[in-house]
Amino acid sequence: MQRPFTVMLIIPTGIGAAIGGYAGDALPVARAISAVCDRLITHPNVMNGAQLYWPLANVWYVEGYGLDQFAAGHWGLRPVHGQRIGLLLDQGIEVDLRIRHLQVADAARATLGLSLTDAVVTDQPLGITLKTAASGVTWGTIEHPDSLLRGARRLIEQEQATAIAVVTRFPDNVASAVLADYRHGQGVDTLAGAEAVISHLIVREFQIPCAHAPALAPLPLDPDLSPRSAAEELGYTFLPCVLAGLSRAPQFVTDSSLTDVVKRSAVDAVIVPESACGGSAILNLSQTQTALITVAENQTTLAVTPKHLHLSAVRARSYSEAIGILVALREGLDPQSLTPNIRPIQVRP
Amino acid sequence: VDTIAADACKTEWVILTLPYDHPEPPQPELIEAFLRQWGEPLRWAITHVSEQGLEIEAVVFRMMDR
Repeated sequence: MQRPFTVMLIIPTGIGAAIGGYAGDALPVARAISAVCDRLITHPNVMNGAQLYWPLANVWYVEGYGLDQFAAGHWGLRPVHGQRIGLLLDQGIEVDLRIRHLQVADAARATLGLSLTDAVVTDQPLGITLKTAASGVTWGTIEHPDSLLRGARRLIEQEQATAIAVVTRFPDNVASAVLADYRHGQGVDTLAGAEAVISHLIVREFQIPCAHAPALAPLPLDPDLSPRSAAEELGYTFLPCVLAGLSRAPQFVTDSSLTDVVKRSAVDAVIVPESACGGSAILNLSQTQTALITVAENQTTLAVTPKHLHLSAVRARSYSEAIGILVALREGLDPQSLTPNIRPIQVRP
Repeated sequence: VDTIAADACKTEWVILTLPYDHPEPPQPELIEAFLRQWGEPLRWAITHVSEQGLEIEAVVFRMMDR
């Protein structure tokens, strides 16, 4: 019996990825890849489309910090039948918007049958500050991370939550030109970097699955909205996809002696935008036998390629080509054998 | 439950350059060790490669007594 063919798909958030830089617009890529592998490990930025989502039985929804720890060989992943999700709401969310999000959680229980604990509101407004660096990458900081951590701890210790969905009030004062670009499928998601920091902090501290949804005031109608951004304009909440993703997210396992745990050595291939190879997961997996496949077409604000970092990679022009390379690897073929240029074998001195 | 006191910690964005002039891939553990001079790295990325080295952007988490 062959071992499960396992693929990791990474599209970092907040770097303006042409595919995956908007509102769940890499989900079709994940669906296609999941059809040619036994197990796809990917992260919320790929799977989350606000009120749109597409559960797939062989896709593992792993938060970015946990993904980095997994790729570094520090943590393992263990599948679960279901998670008990705790909803953590920022005190900075207005009452009406808070009620809306509680109703989303109730809808997820009643309509999808998900398991949720009672919700907790942070004891202070979290105070999110957004930042766009000269590189074009978006970041964010939290004014009261202690309040975020106290709220998460209450959910885990008092409500027995095994996963956490965080909803944070984000500033409405994003520059109008930047917001307009994003809604038109250009530029960088200004919220994304801060969202990542929020969930990374909780995962780092508690080693449980976590994902974030921003709370924002609804935007006025834009008739020229890009299809890539449209999923975030269906309503007043981005929470449904987060609850669906977390509901079956694998557990993080930090005890390396446990069995029944998937470790990084199980990953056969990792796919990443060609210009975004300077992250923790890619650099760690480059030290292993995992095949690195880069996708040129998915351009980002960065220019950090395998060539710059002396990484060995298989270059694909598009995700369609990357999927062909995956099929070759799955079948034990050298991807080079599918091209007209095969270098003759040399005799080493 | 309330083991982390109010305002006991902070998150901070940092940008720095790490010398890099050899034909081997960068070592992520070295980058994280470098970042720990400012705090525990939550999210980081190499955002530019130049003759000066690797430009690294990060958000770090730090307890205020550090």
